[in-house]
Amino acid sequence: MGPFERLFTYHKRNFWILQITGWSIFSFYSLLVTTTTVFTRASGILPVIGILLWLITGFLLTLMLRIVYKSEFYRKQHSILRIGIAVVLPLILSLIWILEFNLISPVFEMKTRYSIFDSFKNFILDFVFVHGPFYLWTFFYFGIKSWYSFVDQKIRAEKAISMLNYANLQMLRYQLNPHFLFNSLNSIKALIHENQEIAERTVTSLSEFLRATLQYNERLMIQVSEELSIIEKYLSIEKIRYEERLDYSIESDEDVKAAEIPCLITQPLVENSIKHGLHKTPEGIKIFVRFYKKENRIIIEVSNSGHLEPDWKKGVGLRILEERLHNCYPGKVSFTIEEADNTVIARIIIDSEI
Amino acid sequence: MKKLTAVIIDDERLARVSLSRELSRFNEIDITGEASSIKTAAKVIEKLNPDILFLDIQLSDGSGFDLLDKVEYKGKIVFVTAFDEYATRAFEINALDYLMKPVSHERVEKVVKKLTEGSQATNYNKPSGFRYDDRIMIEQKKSIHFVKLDTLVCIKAERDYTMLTDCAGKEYLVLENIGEWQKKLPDEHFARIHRNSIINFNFIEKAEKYGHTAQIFLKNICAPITVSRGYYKLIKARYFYK
Repeated sequence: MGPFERLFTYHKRNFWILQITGWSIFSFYSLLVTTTTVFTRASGILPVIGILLWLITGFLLTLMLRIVYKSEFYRKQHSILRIGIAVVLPLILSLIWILEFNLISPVFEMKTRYSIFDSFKNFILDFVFVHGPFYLWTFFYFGIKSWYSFVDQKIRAEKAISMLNYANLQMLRYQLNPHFLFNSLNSIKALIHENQEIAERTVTSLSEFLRATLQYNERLMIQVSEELSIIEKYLSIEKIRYEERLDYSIESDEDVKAAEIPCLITQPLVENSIKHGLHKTPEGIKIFVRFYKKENRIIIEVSNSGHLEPDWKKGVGLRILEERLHNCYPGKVSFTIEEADNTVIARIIIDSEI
Repeated sequence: MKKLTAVIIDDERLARVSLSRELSRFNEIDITGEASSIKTAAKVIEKLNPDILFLDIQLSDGSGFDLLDKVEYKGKIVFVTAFDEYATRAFEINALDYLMKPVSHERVEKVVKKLTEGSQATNYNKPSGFRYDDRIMIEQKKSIHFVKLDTLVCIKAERDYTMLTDCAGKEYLVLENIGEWQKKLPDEHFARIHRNSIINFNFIEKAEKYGHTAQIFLKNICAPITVSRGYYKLIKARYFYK
């Protein structure tokens, strides 16, 4: 990023760059006017020093404006009061500035005095050169600030979208687990000779599960009853692979079946349960999936017999799941995994007013 | 002709059924046992000591590589996997036979032919160098190990052999000279620092100046390794930030 483009996005140094540049331009212009006609009729260096001193005061006064606008006190006020302050404060500061000019004017032989309503011509000049800077400064200060926050929001939004896309891709990969797919096909191959009826049923289950996975969409919501049937398909295929080593039951209260949840949100939890449960207890595990409602909350639980490792951490799959939940229900969802009574329970709690 | 005995290790019964069905078509192979976990497999291998092991890579209680670290087995191994990018890479760089589930008739035929005749079953496009996340096969007197390169701390020459030390302090004696290792190991991580030693940068604990060269202290290894003068120059030229 070049130094010029840097000005368009927020950087700490930008304020000082703009502040100094702005005042330099204004000073240059004032001095030009000063040394020619308006302010002084005497020649020599003394009036120029006086004007410079006066300009430096102006520079410092705008810094005071900044301190006020940045303060906690100012930002906490009602917006009307804030506008009021932004109108009155520059006026007060410019009166101070005029007072200063009038005080130093004889000392530096500037030979001009300000009286606020001297004449219409002077009033206009006053406005441009005395009140002007502080209002202009205020205008730029808030303008640039809101521009930065606008750019910042845009950048953030872009970042969020690209992260979402990445998460989507990961999620898809995670759900279309090739290991699961090929092992299932391998089981079916054996079943063709052993039990054709089960082989047929497994092909159907696998197809239905794959179809659901392919329709998968980050934002797609489905009814709990539908989710139930997909998970049931998934577990039935896993049951064929692991046989007596995997037992499962799926339960759902009637009043939750019509509720909508993000599609396939339960699947990574079930997959996780099987993988970790069987790793710890190769002899066999029981998976328990439960959907229910409690005080306007939809609760999804997936539990398996076993223990959590003490140094346990959420893997990529679960982190993506968590992110997805927070995207769908910002601030209204919790996702926990804990151990109780030799059972590991993953629990999603969704606050819903549905 | 004497039949070759084989044991199938897979945690899914149907997968074992499927593979033994494929293998039953070949008279040269006699399946004498099966196992479904690392625990049971260790016992079965010890008891039957088969000529061939058909080994699934992803078992419920660990990986097939873990199993090999636990048993004394020196026979032939055919790896079986449904999908595992890393494992497949390990088979290929080590020119090993493997089957992908569900296995095809043709592929099994090739593998069996190789087992009985010693011909090459796979068209390996064996890469010339290793990646840092590779697993390399190391054969010992009584066992076979698949060591992850990123666990290797140093390699020291012992005449025509080399001694490998891993981060757990385990040592492996390998019939390969140090020059061969230097060619194959990824040089972002491994450097030859002496006529008789290669080290893994990631395990350097500290390095001290020592005259015109340096001494390097590696994690878990007591004696420091001296960088020889000639290699010090090379290392400086290759790695030091100028």
